[in-house]
Amino acid sequence: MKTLAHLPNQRPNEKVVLFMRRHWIALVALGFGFSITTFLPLSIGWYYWDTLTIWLAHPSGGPLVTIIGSMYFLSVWLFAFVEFTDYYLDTWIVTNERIINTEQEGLFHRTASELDLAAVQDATAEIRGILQTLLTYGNVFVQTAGEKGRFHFKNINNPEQVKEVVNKLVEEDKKRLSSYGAVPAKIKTSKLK
Amino acid sequence: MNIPTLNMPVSVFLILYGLFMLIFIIYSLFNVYHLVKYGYYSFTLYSVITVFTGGTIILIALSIFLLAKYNWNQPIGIQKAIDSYNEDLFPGL
Repeated sequence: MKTLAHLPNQRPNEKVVLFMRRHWIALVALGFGFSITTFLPLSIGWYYWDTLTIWLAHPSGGPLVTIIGSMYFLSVWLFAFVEFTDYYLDTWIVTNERIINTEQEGLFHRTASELDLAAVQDATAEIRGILQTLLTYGNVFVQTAGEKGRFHFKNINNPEQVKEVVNKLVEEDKKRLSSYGAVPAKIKTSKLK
Repeated sequence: MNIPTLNMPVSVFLILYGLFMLIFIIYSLFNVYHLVKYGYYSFTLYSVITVFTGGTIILIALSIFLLAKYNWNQPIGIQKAIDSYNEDLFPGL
C-alpha cells in the first residue's frame, strides 16, 4: 500500500503540498444511484408482497426468483464497490517539485503520469454551472510546453485556490532550478492495462 | 395447451448461480487487491473494504438461508408453472 510519506520515485526534500480527489458530490451521486437500484425493487416487492409470496412458494419458480433476486442485489453491491474504487484511486498529488496524476479508468485500465513543475506553462481553473458554483468545485487544467499537452484535475474542490497554489509552486520551482543552473524537465507517463 | 414436463431438476439453476458467484468473488477480490495495492493508506480505505466484505457475507448468508428451504430435486414443470401462474396471479383467467 502507498502512503503520502513515501511517494513513487520520491526525491530528496520533496514534500506533498496538495492531495486531491474528485469532489464529494461524486460519492453522493454514487450513493443516490445505489439507493435507487436497491430500494426501488425492495419497495415494489413490499407493495406486491402477496404476489411475491405466491411466486416464492412455487416449487420451481420460487428458487428461480430467489436466485435472480440474490444475483441482482449482489451485482448492485459489487457495482457500487467498483465505482467507489474508481473514485478512490483517481488522485492528483502536487508536491513542491512535481505533479503526480493517477487515474483508474475501469478495473483493468490505469494511467499514472508525472510532471515536473518547472515544465508547467500555465494553470487554468474552470467552474461551470449552478451546482459547481454553489459547491465550489470544478476543473483545473495544467498546461505544459511538451506535446503531451495538459494535465486535467477533474471535479476537484476549490479549483481557484488549487490553481493559485500550483502557479506559486511553479514559480518557486523555476527559481530553485535557475539558482542551480538546471534545465527543466519532462512528463513521464506509464500505462498499466 | 399441454406442455410436456421436462426431466430436469430445479438444481440446474444452482449451476448458473455458482457460475455467477465465481465471477462475483474473483471480481471482488481483484477490486480489493487494486485498492490495497494502489490506494493511499487511510482509515476510510480499510472501513470501506470491511463494510463491503461484511455486506457481501450478509447478502450471501441471506441467499443461502432463503435457498435452503427449497427441494432442489423437484423437476421443472412448465405446464404446472403456467397453471399456477394463471390461477394464483390472475384468478380471472
